[in-house]
Amino acid sequence: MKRFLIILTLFSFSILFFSPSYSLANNLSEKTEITQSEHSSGHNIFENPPSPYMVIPFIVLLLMIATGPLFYRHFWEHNYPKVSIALGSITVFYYLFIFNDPLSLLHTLEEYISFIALLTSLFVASGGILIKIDRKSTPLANVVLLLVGAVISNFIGTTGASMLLIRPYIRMNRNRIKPYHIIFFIFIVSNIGGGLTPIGDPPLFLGFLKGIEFFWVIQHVWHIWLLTIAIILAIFYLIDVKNYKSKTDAVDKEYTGKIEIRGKKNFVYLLIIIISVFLDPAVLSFVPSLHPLPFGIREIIMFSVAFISYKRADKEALKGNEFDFEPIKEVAFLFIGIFATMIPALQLVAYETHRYGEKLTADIFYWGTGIFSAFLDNAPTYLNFLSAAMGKFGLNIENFQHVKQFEMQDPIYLMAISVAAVFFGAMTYIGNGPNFMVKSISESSGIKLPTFFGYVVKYSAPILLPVFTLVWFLFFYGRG
Amino acid sequence: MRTVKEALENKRNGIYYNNRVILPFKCEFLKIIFEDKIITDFSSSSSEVEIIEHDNFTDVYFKKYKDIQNEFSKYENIKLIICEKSEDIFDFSKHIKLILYIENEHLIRIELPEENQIIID
Repeated sequence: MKRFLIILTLFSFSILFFSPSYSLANNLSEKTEITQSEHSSGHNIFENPPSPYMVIPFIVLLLMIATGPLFYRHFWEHNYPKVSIALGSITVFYYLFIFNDPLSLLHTLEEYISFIALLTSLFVASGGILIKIDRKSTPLANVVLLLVGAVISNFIGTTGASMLLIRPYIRMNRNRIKPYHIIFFIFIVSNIGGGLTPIGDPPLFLGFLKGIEFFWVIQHVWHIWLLTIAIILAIFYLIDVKNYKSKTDAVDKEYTGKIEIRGKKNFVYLLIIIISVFLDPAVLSFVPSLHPLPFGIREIIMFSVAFISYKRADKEALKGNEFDFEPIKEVAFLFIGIFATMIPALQLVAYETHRYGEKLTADIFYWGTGIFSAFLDNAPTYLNFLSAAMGKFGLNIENFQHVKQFEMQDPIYLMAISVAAVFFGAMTYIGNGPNFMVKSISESSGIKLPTFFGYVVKYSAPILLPVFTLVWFLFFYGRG
Repeated sequence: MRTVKEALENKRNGIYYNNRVILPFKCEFLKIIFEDKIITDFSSSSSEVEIIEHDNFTDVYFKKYKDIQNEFSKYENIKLIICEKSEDIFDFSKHIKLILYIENEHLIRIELPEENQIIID
């Protein structure tokens, strides 16, 4: 069945890539200068939007991603690739043969390959690093580790940082570990920490692929990030001090204070991946384009690094990390469907907000992006709300120049969307990819974590919602 | 009766057939961690596992799976927290943590966890 799915996927891509309508549209796009409100395929989505019914596969897929692992786990675990590809194929068929817009599919395919190349390479390279911390698990040591995790998640992604640090964190706290330890790790390392760079969290990387400048996010939201991290770490510290005082008697071991790292060479691989992010003809003009191939030098480097780093990984590190390709396989298959089905959703959102744009404020973008990011995946949510915010000004997210124009003229909207997409991903287990991975690793170590609703009711709603409300009040309320 | 200690000292392997795991010892089960599922219900009405003791070995049936080999990749494993039949189950220091690696040809390699591997009691 796996072979069948791979063949089906390749077949779908090859239809797209070699279809006559793609070639025609591609030639046209090279020769035609794009006007401001015109879609890059020649479609003007503000005059000729896709059918609203084409949003149904996107909604069905997101709902199944949200409910599958919780309510019909066995079915979902064995069938999610088929579900994702089947729903994505509906959109591919519509855009190829009914809507005649193959370029939207091609752009999406390019973004998908870039997205998966980055996540896969970071996941594999960080999975080959094993960190052992022989320190007493004091509240201060935990705060330092979480803060380090928050910072490095901006260099190796929330997925990479979570993969790298969750086991040392559990090992360090093994004598007194409680569910809140893991949940604050999800809050800080798996989500909010990665809010400063496009490498940090998938939504921001999608924004980068659309044309947001790499350093735009850190320049505009660093102060919001710092305040939020400081408040949440302070709350964690207070809770951890209480737990620490009640458990100190159980800790009778002597600690060397050493930090031992296996698989250090993988840091070189991580560095190569980070540098390669910039190897895009749109960022550095000397980088050759591989057009008409739907990938570039960057993606080739990333996939090569993933392959080499796995083949040459320290086997003890892989064993200690219980390394498994399943999490990245899941992301790869689910995002085939997400990327394909969200094309009409993005275009329709832009179309609708262009009509009703004046009523949309930064408050609405903050809370709207936040609530959807909490309960659906935050990456497509980010793109939908970015599309909406740009549509408010008659700009199209599929147009690189429009994105550049938008980030300069109205930063408050992009700030609200970026912050909310990343931060609110921590509200539930399904808000961001690494959340479930951290939950799974923790439970496979024997730590019982709260249920989906327990997580929200006991932790994220009482802790995060007040903090996010404060962020809204201080930085976005009445500002746009 | 074969004890856990004897099985480990003699490096005895377990075996599996589809969802049946046969362990070469008898013990008291406290916790089984199967992927990210923490199983602690070993009563006869458990929906997850059924345990049947024999004279020299123990059967563990994972009821929700057809073939456990399909569930584990190279570096994944089943984790157990158990206690010897002859030891005081209420004494945490007597609890034994084991890791079961699912190998090819129906073989299960049984090991004590290494320093890197975490099993929380």
